[in-house]
Amino acid sequence: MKQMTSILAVVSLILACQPVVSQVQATGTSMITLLSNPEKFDGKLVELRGFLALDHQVHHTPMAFLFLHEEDANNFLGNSLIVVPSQQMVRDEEKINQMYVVITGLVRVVHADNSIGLEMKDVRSCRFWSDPRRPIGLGVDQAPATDHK
Amino acid sequence: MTWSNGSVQLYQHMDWVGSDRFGHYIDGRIVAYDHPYAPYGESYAYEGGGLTQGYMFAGIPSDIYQPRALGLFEAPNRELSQVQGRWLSPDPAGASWNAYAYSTNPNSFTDPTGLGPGGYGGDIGLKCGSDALTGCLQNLCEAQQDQCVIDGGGDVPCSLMGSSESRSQCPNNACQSINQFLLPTQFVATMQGDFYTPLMPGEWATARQALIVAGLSTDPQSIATNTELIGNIFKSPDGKFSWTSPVEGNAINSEISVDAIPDGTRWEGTYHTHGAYDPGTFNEQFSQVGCNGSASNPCDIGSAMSVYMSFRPPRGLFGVATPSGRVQIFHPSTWTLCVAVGSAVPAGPGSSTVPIGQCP
Repeated sequence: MKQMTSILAVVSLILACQPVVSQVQATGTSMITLLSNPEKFDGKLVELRGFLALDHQVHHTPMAFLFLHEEDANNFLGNSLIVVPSQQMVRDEEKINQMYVVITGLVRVVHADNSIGLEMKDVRSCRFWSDPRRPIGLGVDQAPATDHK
Repeated sequence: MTWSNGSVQLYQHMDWVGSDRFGHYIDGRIVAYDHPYAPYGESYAYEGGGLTQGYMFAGIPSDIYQPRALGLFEAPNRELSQVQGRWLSPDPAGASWNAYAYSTNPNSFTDPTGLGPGGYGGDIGLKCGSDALTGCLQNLCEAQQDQCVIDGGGDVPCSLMGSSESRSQCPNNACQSINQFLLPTQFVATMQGDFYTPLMPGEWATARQALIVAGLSTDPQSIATNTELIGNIFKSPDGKFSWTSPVEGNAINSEISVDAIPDGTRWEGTYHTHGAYDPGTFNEQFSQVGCNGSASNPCDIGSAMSVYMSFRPPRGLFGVATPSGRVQIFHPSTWTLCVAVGSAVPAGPGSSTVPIGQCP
């Protein structure tokens, strides 16, 4: 009985802690700030806006990249980070691929020899922001995500 | 394997290179034919009757649109004449000096796709036995063989580790082989024992070596399951290179992270495989940007470029192992595909390849 009580206490504690974990606030920043200070954001939950390119071929593991700008993606100019896409992102591919998005996830600095890279994993959300073919700034009828900051 | 023309059902018994050496009728359990093949596929001393189609030499089915007398075998990429022992058309890649030649050692090397470099040694990827690597290792267990072919580089030892007494426990033992670069590669069976996976990757002197061996090691599993596998190449603090066990593609919940390397190591590149042969996909090469019909789809080349450019300064080595056993390496800095193993096939119009042996 004592054991049972202990188990219940642990389970209750875990359940009680969960909302706290999910309430960790993401640090909102820009791609430029992140790219110029990668170490500052290592291991942090970050919210970014950028252009998303998602690759999802038959038999392939989905891959994604967040670029500062569409031109950076089309010309392979860098100014990007690797994104490990969530299942929801793959499901939402048609809505968010080749679009500007607002994405929240954990940023990790990856070390290579004499080089560092940036990756975002554990993506919490990825929402449509603007279609480069119909930019929201030009007053077209598409409303951006409602809960953006 | 079984064969049927609607009224007659046969069970075909394959020999070690995958030819239908012998057949019996399923109904009545009587011998249907005895079909010896000369080394290059020519029929001789055939006994039996009735079978005009549906036979097979070294994994290549007969051409069902041609009468048996013509003796043509139809590989996915070209036809093999059993009378001449040669391909009727040149190597699509144009990679070898004798583009019409079949394997120079047809008892050990086969070329079921027609893409093996002619005169060089046959198709990389097909192993001894009628199956791929599984067949090879199964033969080792059952027949105590000490020779098998791992990658077309020659007859090299493929021996089970441990004492001879332990060989009967093959499915749960590690197996070691040596490829044409004389790089030892190790495999271990899955719990189901139906394919082998490189759980003990070893260490190599260069990232390129590690990438080649990673591709060759994971390709059989990828082909057997028709699933892309993907993993990382990394550098250990001691300066040696190795690779991470692959994760499976083709599933919505699969993910690859360049961060998924052991603590204290440095990321060096990514390798992946392309599953089984599929004429509808780009699986014999790195797929080009826009491969899925959308001009903006990064595909393999675009993804490799994007990963490369996500490092500052840009960095990374990218490899793919294909269904026919090629290992191609993509060098983003020069936008060059280097064929490290197997015959060269350009990735697409305008793309360049570097012949074997000249990889930077």
